Amino acid sequence: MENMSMKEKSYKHKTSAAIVRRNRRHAYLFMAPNFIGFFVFTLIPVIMAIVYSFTNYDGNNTMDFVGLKNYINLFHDSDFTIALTNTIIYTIGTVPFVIILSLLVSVLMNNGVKGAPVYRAIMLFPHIASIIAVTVVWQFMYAKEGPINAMLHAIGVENPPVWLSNQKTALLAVMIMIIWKGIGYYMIVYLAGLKGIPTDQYEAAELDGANAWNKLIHVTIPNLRPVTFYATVMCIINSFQVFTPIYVMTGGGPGRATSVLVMQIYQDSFVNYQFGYASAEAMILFLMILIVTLIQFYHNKRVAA
Amino acid sequence: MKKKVLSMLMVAAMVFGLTACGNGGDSKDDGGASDDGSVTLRLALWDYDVDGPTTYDPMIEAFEKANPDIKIEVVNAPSADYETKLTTMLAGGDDVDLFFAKSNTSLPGLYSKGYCMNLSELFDSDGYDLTNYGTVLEQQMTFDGNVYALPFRTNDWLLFYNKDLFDAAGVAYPTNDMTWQQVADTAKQIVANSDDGIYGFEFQPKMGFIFPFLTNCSDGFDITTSDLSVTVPAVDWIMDMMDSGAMEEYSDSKSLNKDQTYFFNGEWAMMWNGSWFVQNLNSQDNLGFEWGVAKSPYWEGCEKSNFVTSTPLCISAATEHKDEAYTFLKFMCGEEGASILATTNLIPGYMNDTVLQSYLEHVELDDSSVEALTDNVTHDFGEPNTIFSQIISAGQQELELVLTDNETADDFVKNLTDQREELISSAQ
Repeated sequence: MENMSMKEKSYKHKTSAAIVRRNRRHAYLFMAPNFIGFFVFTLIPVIMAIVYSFTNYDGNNTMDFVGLKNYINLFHDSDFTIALTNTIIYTIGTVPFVIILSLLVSVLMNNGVKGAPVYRAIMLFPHIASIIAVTVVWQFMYAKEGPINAMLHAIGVENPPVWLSNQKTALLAVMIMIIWKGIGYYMIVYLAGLKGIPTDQYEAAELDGANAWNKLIHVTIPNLRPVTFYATVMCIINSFQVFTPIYVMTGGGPGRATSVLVMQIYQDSFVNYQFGYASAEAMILFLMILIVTLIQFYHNKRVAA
Repeated sequence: MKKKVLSMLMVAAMVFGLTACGNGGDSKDDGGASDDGSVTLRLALWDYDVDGPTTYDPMIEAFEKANPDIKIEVVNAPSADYETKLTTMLAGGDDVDLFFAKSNTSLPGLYSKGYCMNLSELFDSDGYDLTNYGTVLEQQMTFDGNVYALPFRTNDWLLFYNKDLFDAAGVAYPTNDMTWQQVADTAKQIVANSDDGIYGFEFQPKMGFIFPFLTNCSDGFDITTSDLSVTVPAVDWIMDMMDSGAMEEYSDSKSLNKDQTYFFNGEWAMMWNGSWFVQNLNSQDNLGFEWGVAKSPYWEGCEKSNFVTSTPLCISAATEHKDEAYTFLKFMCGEEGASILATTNLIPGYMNDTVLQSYLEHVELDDSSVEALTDNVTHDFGEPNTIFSQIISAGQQELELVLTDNETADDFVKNLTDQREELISSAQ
C-alpha cells in the first residue's frame, strides 16, 4: 500500500513536471513573436548604436574606431552641453509640478466634487489630444497678440513677452504647456491609487480629530507613496525623451534656447550625418534613463520585500 | 523530446515567416533590372506631387520615349523633409540611382560623405561638352578639380515687385540698378503711402539663401575662414527695416509660417527671392495684381554684384546602373532636358541661345524684367568641407536670435565666430 502511494506520488510529480514543461514551451511560443521583434528591432540596433558611438560612422565612408573621442568631444561641444542643460532644466521644471498638481486634482475629484466626471474628462482631454494639434494651438496662444498676452494686458502687464521668440521665455512656455498636458494622465494614475486606500484609515483619523488637511498629509500621501514613486519615475523618463512639442513649437530655437537632448541627437544624425557622434549622445541619454530606472527597480524590490 | 523538436520547428517556422515577410517587398526588385531587359532608375526629388505634372513628367516621358529600355521611378518627399529623407535613404543603403541636392549649399555635405559619383571620368570618356553650363559648374559643382553634379536649374536672385502696390503708393518701380539702401528707402516710402498691413519688403532670412547679401562688399568670402564682421551692416539693415515697419517682424512672420507664397496675397510690395518663383507666379490663375522683377540689389560702394544659386543633380556613388544613370543625367541637364524645362518657366542650368529664347518666350515678362534675368553671375561660399552645412545652420540659429531681438549684430558675429571655431576644432 505504502509502496503504491509512493509510486503514485512520483508518477503524479512526473506528470505535473511534464505539464509545466509543456506549458513553458507554449509560453515561449507565445512570447516568440514579441521577443523576435524586440531582438530584431530593439536589441540589435541598441548594440549597434553602442558600437557606433565609438566610431566616426557617417553613413557612407568607412568607419574607423575613434575610442572615447566622441564622448570627450561631447563635453566640449556647446550644442550638446546646452541641450543637456535645457533637458535638466525642463525636467526639474515640469516633473514636480505635474506630480503635485495631478495629486491635488485627483484628491479633489475623489472627494466627490460636484460634476467630478465632467472635470475628469476636461482634465484628461489634453492627454488624449494629439500632441501636434495641441502644440499648434499653444503656438497660437503664445503669439505676440495672442490670447495669453491679451490676458496679461488686461491685468495690467505692460510689455508681455513674445513667448516663443524670446530666449528667456521660450523654454518656460514649452514647460507650461507640458505641465498642462501631463496632469490628466497622472491624475488617472493617482485616482486608481486613491481607490486603493482603505476607508477605515480615514475613519480612524476622523475619530482622532483630523481635519481634511491632516488626512491628506498623514493618510493619503503616505498611502500613495508607491504610486507617486512610479509616476515620478515615468514622468522623469518622459521628460528626458521630450522631442515632439519642441520640434513643432520652436524647432529648438530661438537660437539654441529650447534645444534638448533628443533634438540634438536628431540634428547630429539626420541633419549633420554624424551617426557615430549622435550615438554617443544617445548613450548619455540612455545612461541617464538607466540610472532613473535602476533607482525605481531597487526601490520596488525593497518595497516588495 | 519529440514535442521539443516540434516547438523548435514552430519557432523556426515563425522566424522564417517573419524574415520571409520582410523580404517579400524586395524580392521583385533585383537591382532594378526586369525581365524584359529594361532597367529602372530610382530618382529622388522633392514636391513631385506639386511639380510633377508641370515640370518633371514631360521630361521623364520624353526621356523614356527616347530610351525605351530605361524606366524612371520617382522617389518623392515633401520639400521640408527632403534632405532628411535623402540622408536616411543614402545612409541606409537604399538603391536610389540619382538624386537632386536641395541647393548648391547642401552639395558640399553630400560630396564630403561620398554620396556623389565623380562625373569627370564619365565626361572624359565620352568627351561631353561642358561649356554651356557657365561658371556655376566651376564654382558650385567642382570639388578638388572633379565635377560631382550637373546644374539642373539655376536660380537668379531677383527683386519681385507688386506693380499694383507701387502704383497705389505712387512710388516708381524698382530698377535693375538698385542698392540695398535704395531698396530700404523705397520700402519705407511704400509703407508710408499705403494702408495698414502692407509691407515694403520681405525675404526669407535663411543663412544659405541670403549669404551674399550678408557678406556685403567683401569679395571672395569664405564662410569657414573669413572675418564675419563684414555681415554687421547687412544685419543692421534688416533690423532697421523691421523697426521701421517696412518689413514684418521676424517673430510674427515665423509664428505664422509665412513663406514666399504670401506674396500672392498682394500685401508685400517687394520680395527678394529666386527665379523659380516666376513659375509659381505664372501658375496662379487669379493673382489679382501685376508683377515684375528687377535685378538683385547691391551694396553701395561695391562692385555691382548679383547672385545665382543652383539645383544640382547627382548620380549616387553606389548606383549599379552607372551608364543608364549617366544617360539620364545628360538628358535632364543637357540640351534636350533644358529645352523642355525652359518652357515651364524655370531656368535650366544648361544654357544656349535657343534655350534662353524658349525660356523668355514662355515667361511673358516685360523688357526690364527680361533684362533682370540675363547676364547674372554666380557666387560661391568658399571651399567646401565637412562642416560647411553645420556652420550655416549655426549661423541660422544666431541670426534668428538677432532677428528676434535677443542679440545684437555684434553678438551675432562674436557667437558665430566662437561656434565656428568649436566646429572646426571638433572636426579635426
